[in-house]
Amino acid sequence: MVRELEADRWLRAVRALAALSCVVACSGESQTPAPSHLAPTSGAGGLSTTGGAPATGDVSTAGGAEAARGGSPQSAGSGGSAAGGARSSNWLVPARIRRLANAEYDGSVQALLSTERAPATGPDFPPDLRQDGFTVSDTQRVDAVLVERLDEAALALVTEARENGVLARLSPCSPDDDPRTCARAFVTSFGGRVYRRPLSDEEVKALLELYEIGAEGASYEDGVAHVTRGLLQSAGFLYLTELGDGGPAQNQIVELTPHEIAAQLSYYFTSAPPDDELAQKAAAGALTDPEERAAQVRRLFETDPRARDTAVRLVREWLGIDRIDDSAKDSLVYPEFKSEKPKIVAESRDFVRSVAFESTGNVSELFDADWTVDSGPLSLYQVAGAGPIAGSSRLRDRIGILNQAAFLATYANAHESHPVFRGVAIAQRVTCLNLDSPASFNIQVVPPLPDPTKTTRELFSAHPADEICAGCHDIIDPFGFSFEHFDGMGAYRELDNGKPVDSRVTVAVEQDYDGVFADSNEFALALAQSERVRECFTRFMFRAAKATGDNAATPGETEFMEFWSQQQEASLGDMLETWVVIAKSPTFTLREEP
Amino acid sequence: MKSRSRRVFLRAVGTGFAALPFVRLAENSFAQSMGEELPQRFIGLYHPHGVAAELFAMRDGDTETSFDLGYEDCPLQPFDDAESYGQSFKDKILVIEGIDVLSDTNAHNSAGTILTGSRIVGGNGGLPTNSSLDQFLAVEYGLGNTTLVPSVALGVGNKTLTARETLSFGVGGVPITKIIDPVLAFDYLFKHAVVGTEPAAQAEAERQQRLGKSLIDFVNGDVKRLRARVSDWDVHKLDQHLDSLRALEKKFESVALSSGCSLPARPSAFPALERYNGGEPYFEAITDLQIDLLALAMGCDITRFATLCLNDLSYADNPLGLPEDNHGGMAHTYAAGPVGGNGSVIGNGNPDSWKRLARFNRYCYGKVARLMQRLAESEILDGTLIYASSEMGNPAAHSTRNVPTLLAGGLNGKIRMGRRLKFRMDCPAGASCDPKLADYETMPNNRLLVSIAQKFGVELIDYGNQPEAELAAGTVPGV
Repeated sequence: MVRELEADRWLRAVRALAALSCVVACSGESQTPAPSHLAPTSGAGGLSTTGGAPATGDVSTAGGAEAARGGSPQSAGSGGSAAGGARSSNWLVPARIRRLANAEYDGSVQALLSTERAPATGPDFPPDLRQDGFTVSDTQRVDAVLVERLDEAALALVTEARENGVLARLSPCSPDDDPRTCARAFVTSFGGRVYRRPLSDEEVKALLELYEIGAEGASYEDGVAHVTRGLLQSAGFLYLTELGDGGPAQNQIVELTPHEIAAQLSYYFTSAPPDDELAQKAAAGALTDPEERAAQVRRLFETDPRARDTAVRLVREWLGIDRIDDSAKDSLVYPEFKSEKPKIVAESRDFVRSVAFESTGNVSELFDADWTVDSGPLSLYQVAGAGPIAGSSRLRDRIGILNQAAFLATYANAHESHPVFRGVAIAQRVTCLNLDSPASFNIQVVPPLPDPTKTTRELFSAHPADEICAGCHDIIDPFGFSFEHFDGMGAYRELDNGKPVDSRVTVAVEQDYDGVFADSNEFALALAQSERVRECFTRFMFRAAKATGDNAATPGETEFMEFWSQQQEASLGDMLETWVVIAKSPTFTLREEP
Repeated sequence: MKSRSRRVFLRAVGTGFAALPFVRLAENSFAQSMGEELPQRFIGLYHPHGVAAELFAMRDGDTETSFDLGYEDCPLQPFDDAESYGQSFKDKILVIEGIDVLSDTNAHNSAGTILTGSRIVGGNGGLPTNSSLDQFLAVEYGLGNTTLVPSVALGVGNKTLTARETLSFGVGGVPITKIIDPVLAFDYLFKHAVVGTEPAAQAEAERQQRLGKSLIDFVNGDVKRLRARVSDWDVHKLDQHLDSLRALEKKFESVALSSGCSLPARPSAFPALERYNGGEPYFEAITDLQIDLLALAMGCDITRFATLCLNDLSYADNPLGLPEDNHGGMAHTYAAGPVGGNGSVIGNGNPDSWKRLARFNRYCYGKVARLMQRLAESEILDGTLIYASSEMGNPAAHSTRNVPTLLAGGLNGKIRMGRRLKFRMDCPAGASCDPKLADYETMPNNRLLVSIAQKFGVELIDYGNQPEAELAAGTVPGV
């Protein structure tokens, strides 16, 4: 009965708001492998009307805002979800801490100990707890299993650093020196690098106690190793702070310390701790200057391969194609997938890297490139000769990243293409259309049963007959059906279940990419020219930087989008400039007092 | 203790170890409950892909206490198979039909609801909003404090922490790490208890213990220094960290293993562990090892609370003769008849598809039977409660209704076993079976969680997070 009433209520709401909100899927299985829950888009017109943060550029008005941070995490069962709950809708992210993501942990130990080990992204660590598809999130915790993994990893890293001489280099001590003096110097210098800031007296004292215990009945090196093992699982190392210096806040606004700003820059752009230059700039107090931050970001992309790797990660997580790494196909249906998968994965990285750093660098080219990298699964594609940059090939059968195998295979079942997965991904991740889950309408999704007499499109076409479902599927299905020339692993096909493929669609969602398209290649060209898509890319990059993973609008998104739209190159889709704008934006260094 | 809602209870107790009066109360009631009885243990178990209800449901002539499990294709056969599992467990199971797992996410994320009773908030990337029963009992209520390891979450083939394949969640619905590598499971459960007998080994163990404790002390102090600077919002993150350090610290304290407990050898590593990365052919062997390690840990009283997420056998030429893609070829192609339709009936269904799924169900229940056999060997089965369920009923419809529900063990007779209960058919003959009309009364598994919590001495009246309070409240009659 309860559910009936709920359904009733929603039914009325849906009818009333038919044009404003929409259902993900009905008979077409809504459970995309993607994180389908999209933070509501704010502003920018279109279908979405929810979630916009109040547009206020006035610092003083934000001062009275309540720190609406969702249910108390203490009251389990009544809110405080790991997904972040309902957070502040104001323009600043609250002052907070967040645990390093696995890639950041690895980047950190590699920088600190000159190691190539990557324990956190290896098999023994628990995976990142994602928010909105992004691995960098403020929900990461340290549970009873991770505590042990951290200690194991620290022990292995320290053992290696002793064996290869790195630790000795970091903690020099001649026979004439008092080992305790050497230990203090090591704790201060190396400890400061681990904590990304100068240590407090109390911290130095605690670490020296650790040294004494490690060295007792053993050697100076044993003591230093013990300190290092402790540092690598300390709170100062594991948690990035965005807390300011603890001084009195003006209008509840917290300014990050120079060292925190340096860490914000280095972790967002390189997944690693500040390098020497950033640390120096921080010490000199230069990073409060937006232009200096912009210059640093440009420098990092210019000189630091980790920045380019990080950019690739951001784009892959935005589109959800990183999940190709952990996917498989039915080998009876797609026998080539297993051998092609490494190339599909490689393409999903190398293509993004090539567009961003070796070609135009424009988000449009991600969608309208008629070429791909030679590391990709070319045997699945129709190649038409050499491409525009070194190590690339032109393609005859597909255009842009959405028609590459990683996207097509990620958003598909193991044995068939999946127009709804693909359509929802386009709607939510590429064009920032606000979709609700069918569950919120109390609709039970019934996936279509296989029918060898029908094409996939015919199978998935049944559901829009339902009134509620149609509200959304009128949007999702044309997106998804346009890709039907590509099967569940991304190979081109003329026939589906023996019948000709129909990929012709009419997209009419009152957006700048509306039109009639013969297939997903034509559709991709329209998306490439869309301002809406450039904006959507920017929104996701902003959300990734804020790492709130909030299902409501990320604080400050509206203001940021306005700021971004005033920066000419960025607003025309230049990816690097968009990242620069994020670093330059006024809220990059500010937090709200919780 | 007066009955109270779980929410009120938590507010009173707080969530950590600060709640001394209640923890003491818990210990007292626990001690009382001991008497001559076995310690109470809980194991939650997830098996994927729903159920072949046509072959699972009670049949004509079956009654609550008299039923047949021996017929061809019966998924529950392993519970009456003394030859394979040492004894018949027919009198140690309680099979319940008609339970709904109200996740509100069309079944794919419903595993996260099985032990939390929580709607999954946030769509496909979503999570429950409160802790799972195992964590509630072991950590929040403190029943896990009496053992070396308060609780453990094990899995097979998939370590992701989404609601799709996770049973254990801490305060606020934060997923608890699953251990999928039997080697790591061994280390987590037994490593600290294994010390060589030679003096040198013991001296080294003592030094490692001293070093280990000093590290914990240091990190503990460092977390507390940070904790003093953060807002309430972040305090719970650091409290979990502190709890975790405390759990590790316990392992450095001297461990007195219960008599007659012999530790297993450390398993050797599997060539691959993870799904989609070559692990599939090892899944059954991994499953068996995880079960054996878990049963030993329980037998040695190293832990009393655990969850285990099973996996399917999606690889070519699997021993069950299932299609390589279990999900597409077995679950999605299940064509229900009226019995298993859950409201999505198309004709009379396809019996071949029932048999295929029943074979997989039988494989999973065989693993439950193996677990029972091992617990019985340690003579602790009767004090244990196993709760096994799946995320769906009819998998082709991805229905969260009428999910297969099995209780096993007995909890020292607190739950009467050797029975089958049936609350209603999900889609009664002749009724309108359109799921969108939602015109069935529901028996949400929240009520089962309440019933179980009560048997563990926690007088709750509701459990979990449902939009309508009555869905989370009450008990399952007859349990």
